[in-house]
Amino acid sequence: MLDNLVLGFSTALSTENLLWCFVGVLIGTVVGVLPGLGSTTGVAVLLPLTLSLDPVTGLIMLAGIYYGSQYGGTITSVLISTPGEASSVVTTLDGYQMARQGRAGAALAISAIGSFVAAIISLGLLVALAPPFAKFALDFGPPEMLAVMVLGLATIISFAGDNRKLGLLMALVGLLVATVGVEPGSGTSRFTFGSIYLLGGIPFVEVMIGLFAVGEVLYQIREGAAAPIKAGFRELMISKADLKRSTGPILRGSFLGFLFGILPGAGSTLASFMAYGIEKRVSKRGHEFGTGAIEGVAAPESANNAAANANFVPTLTLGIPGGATTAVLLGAFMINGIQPGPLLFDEQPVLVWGLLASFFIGNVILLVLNLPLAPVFAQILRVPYGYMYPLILVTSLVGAYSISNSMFSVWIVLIFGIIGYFMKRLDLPMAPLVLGLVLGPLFEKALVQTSAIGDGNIGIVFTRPLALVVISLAIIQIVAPSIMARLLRRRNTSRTRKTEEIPAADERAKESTHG
Amino acid sequence: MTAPSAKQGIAVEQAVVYGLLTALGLITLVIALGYGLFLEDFRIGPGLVPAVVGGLTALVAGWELIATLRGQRTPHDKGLAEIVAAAADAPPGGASTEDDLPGGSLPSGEQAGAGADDDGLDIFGRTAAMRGRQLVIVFVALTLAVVLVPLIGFLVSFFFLSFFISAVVERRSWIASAIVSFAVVAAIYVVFVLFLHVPLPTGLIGIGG
Repeated sequence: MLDNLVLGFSTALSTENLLWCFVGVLIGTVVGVLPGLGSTTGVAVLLPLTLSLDPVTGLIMLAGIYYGSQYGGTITSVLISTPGEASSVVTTLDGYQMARQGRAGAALAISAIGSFVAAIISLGLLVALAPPFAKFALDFGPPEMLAVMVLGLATIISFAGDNRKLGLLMALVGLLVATVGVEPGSGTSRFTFGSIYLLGGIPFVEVMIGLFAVGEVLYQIREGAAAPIKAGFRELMISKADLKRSTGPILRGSFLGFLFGILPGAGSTLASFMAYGIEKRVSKRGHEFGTGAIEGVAAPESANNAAANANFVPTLTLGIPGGATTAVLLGAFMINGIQPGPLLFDEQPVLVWGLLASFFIGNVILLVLNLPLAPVFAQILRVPYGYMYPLILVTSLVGAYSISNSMFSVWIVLIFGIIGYFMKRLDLPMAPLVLGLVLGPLFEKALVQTSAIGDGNIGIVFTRPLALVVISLAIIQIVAPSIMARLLRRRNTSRTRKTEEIPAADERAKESTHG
Repeated sequence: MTAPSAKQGIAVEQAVVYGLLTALGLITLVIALGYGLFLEDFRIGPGLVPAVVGGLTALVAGWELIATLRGQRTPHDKGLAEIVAAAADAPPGGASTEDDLPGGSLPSGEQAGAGADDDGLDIFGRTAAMRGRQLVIVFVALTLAVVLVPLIGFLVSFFFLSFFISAVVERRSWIASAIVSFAVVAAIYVVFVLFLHVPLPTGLIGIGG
């Protein structure tokens, strides 16, 4: 283990890797700050740029964008109550209230510190747990992998959106898109309609760029320009009392975030919501939540960072991405000819440990950058969107072209740009589609192999204890929310005569502001 | 926040999208049947997964289509995260005095924009209809730029795209738009052509290869 870490740090500390790690976290912070650009978009748009780099270096930079954006997303949540990242939505509740009370500096500082502590704790856990887990996963046969993928899809369907039927529909569409191209088992070409371009399937990085970058820009045009921001800035200092109050929430948020992050399909948004909810329950100051309690910033911000790191456990050890951004990162591995999975730790020690060590370094850079410079990053928001979105559009298209040096990629981006626009407009969740698309081929392969093992009987999944447990978890995931909602509603109606509807996050933000 | 007309507009779009998805699912199912569902001794064939997925897509989308046509709003049943967050929530506070707080989207969204209401004016005083027109113009321009790439090359085409959007659609100053667009294209040339050696299409006039 120690050897591995030494190997990792010696890789990550090379001048080139250090430089690109810095570039990655810097871009990540900027991407996180900009509403309309999420970490998924950032990684997808910049992935083509890294293809000329060494795989380790490229992945270090892309991962830097991912966790860097977790820091950046907080800045706008606190200052203008507009989360730059979905995982920072819950931070708007207390963070923005703190800013209105002139304590923006303290809120930003505690989220940077909380994020950093969470990153270090979760990285420690990641480093300790991933290798034994990879060893354990070596025994996974196709039935177990099949079960894990079902769990991943079930998780993302039940958590990613606010309507599970639409989540299921989008996951199905993702799986459907994934069936285009040559079927690996029999070599049959499916849904190619005679096009040679479609033989290799619909390239998924281009799909992501279309959905997340072009679709998002089109949606923003339709939504109209955002109100200008006035990011006044005073009182950068955070008091000792604040730090003391935040210790518990940060630690709880970190461990909770890690737990949720390991689940394939869950991801950091869920973790931040859960951490906020649970912290509100256990904290002595639970009643102050929503009015600018520092605990309400510390807990979710720690959790989303811990979850972002924990997401790498299923991604690296099983090759099953935890969320949309790790799905794109998985694509980056594959484009570089590296297949994440149980064997990765043995086959690519330099890459894996270099990458993990770079997380430590990247988080130190982020802490140093974010403590004093958060208000400076917020100035990026002053660039008029009228200049910004042509830039995003052009970069997306050129980036897509450079993946395969073909206009086919550009057309795919355009087509999925329209699809992405309508998905946003109609509130169709994107994460299930992305996961369906990424898992599609793996899912089918595992299914075919399972049926081969069982001589045509997929029922053998239920005869393998581990697979059975995982499948049961998946079923619980799908069924539990309805049951829990019913129970809670019954309790709520008996307690108050208040509306039965569970308020959405934006309404909560409003209500808590006025409460 | 939306007037009935806007809601109707969304419902029509929903119906069209669900209708298309239902059709897509059914077509996939039919084509997939032709690929063969099973190989010998009931092993899974190339058609099974697309057939099942296509069939399910048609089923779920068809269900949503019928619900939309019958005028039922899609019930937003919540996932675990929202339920826990809601359960831990304080009871809603008093009367609202400020409604201008930009809202956060639910976790499904990648981000939440602080945009104008569907019918409201944005900060430039543009109505929803004007923004809708803008969207169409930008999309047509984007498509046109891609179509023109083989003719005038990537960089020239995208310079005009960026300039057109900034100066004409967004009504920024012409000089500033030209400078920004040129800077964007120049940066792309440096990064992609000089640094990454990507052979961008130069078109018939051969600029930026």
